[in-house]
Amino acid sequence: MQNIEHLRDAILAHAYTTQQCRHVVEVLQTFLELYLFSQAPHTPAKKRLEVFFERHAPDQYATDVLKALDEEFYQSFTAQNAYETLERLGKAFDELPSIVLYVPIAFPVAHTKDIGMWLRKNTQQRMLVKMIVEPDIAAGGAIVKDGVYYDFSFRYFLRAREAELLATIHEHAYAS
Amino acid sequence: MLSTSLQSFDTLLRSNLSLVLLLLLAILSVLLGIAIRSLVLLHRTVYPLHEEGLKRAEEEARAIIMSARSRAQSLGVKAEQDGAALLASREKEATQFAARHEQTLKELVEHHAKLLEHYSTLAHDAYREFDASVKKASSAGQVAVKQEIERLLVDLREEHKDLRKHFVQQFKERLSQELLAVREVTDAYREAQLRMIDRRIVALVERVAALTLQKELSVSEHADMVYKSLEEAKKEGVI
Repeated sequence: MQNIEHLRDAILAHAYTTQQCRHVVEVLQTFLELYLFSQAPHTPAKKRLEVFFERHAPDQYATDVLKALDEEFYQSFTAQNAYETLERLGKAFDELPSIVLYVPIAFPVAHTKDIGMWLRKNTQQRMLVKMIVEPDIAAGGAIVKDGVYYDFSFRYFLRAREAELLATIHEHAYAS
Repeated sequence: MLSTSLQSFDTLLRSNLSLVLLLLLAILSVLLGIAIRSLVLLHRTVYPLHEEGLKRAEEEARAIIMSARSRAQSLGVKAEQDGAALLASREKEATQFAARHEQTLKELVEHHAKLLEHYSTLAHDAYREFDASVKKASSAGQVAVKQEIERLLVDLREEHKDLRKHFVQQFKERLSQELLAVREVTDAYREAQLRMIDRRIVALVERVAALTLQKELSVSEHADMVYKSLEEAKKEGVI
């Protein structure tokens, strides 16, 4: 049986956002309910997943994550500890470092993964990002860290070059 | 002059005293005759029986009158003679007096004329001296006054020049200050307006850019922009 940290890290290898973690845990719970409380409890998890995917048709991301998790991971859950372990797992994700990132569009999983990997590479190994879609951001992103909002969207870059922009506008305005 | 006249009158009165007395006596005789005649008439009226006495009295009276007349005539003649002599004497005295008086007057006139001439000369000299001194003083005063006026005018001009220079300087300074203040206000207003316009321009550019970026950027380009934002955040020490 793996401890909570191992279970957490197994999921973290495929989930980079808090939403992904929560979603994976939710789908995992659905699967475990099927897997642990079915009439054929000794069937391998991998085999049961196919049944699960057929019956519940989870989204591609969740499907890929559940497929990516190994048998040992699933063996850590029993009918007796499943809910408790899931709860502890959820708390373990909550305890990880995280930042809030406002983005202009909902990124596909691949780009979300790349962004998450970038963060983990450049900040902390288990960094999670809570990604929120905000169309007003327009481009780039804004960050909330420790309750403080930092706008690093295109407006930030625009204002950084505001003088240059205004000089250009004035030049054209005077020229005209 | 009055005393001289009174003296002359007194002298004349003294010289004709006999004549005056004679005249007074004649007047008294006439009055006495009138009184007697009146008495006679009264007697005749009141006492006709005494006509004889009256006649006598009348004769006596007539004799008296005659005597008185005669006397009076003689007195008159004598008086006339005395008077004439006196008059001649007085005339002589008067002539002499007149001559003396005339001489005195002449001397006085001459003396006064001399005095007058002397005083006139003195006055004339004094006047000329005064006139000369006045002219001299006047001339000197005029020069002094003229010089003083010129000096005052020069001072006044200098003062006016300084005052004008000071006023112009002060006016220029105030004008400069006012212009500076107005320029500062207008510059501040202009700057504020330009800043407001700039803000609006930037907001407009932002809005246009946001719309454009939101619609035109691909997912990969959006992702690249997010990386750029994260890199900037890291650079700023936010993450």
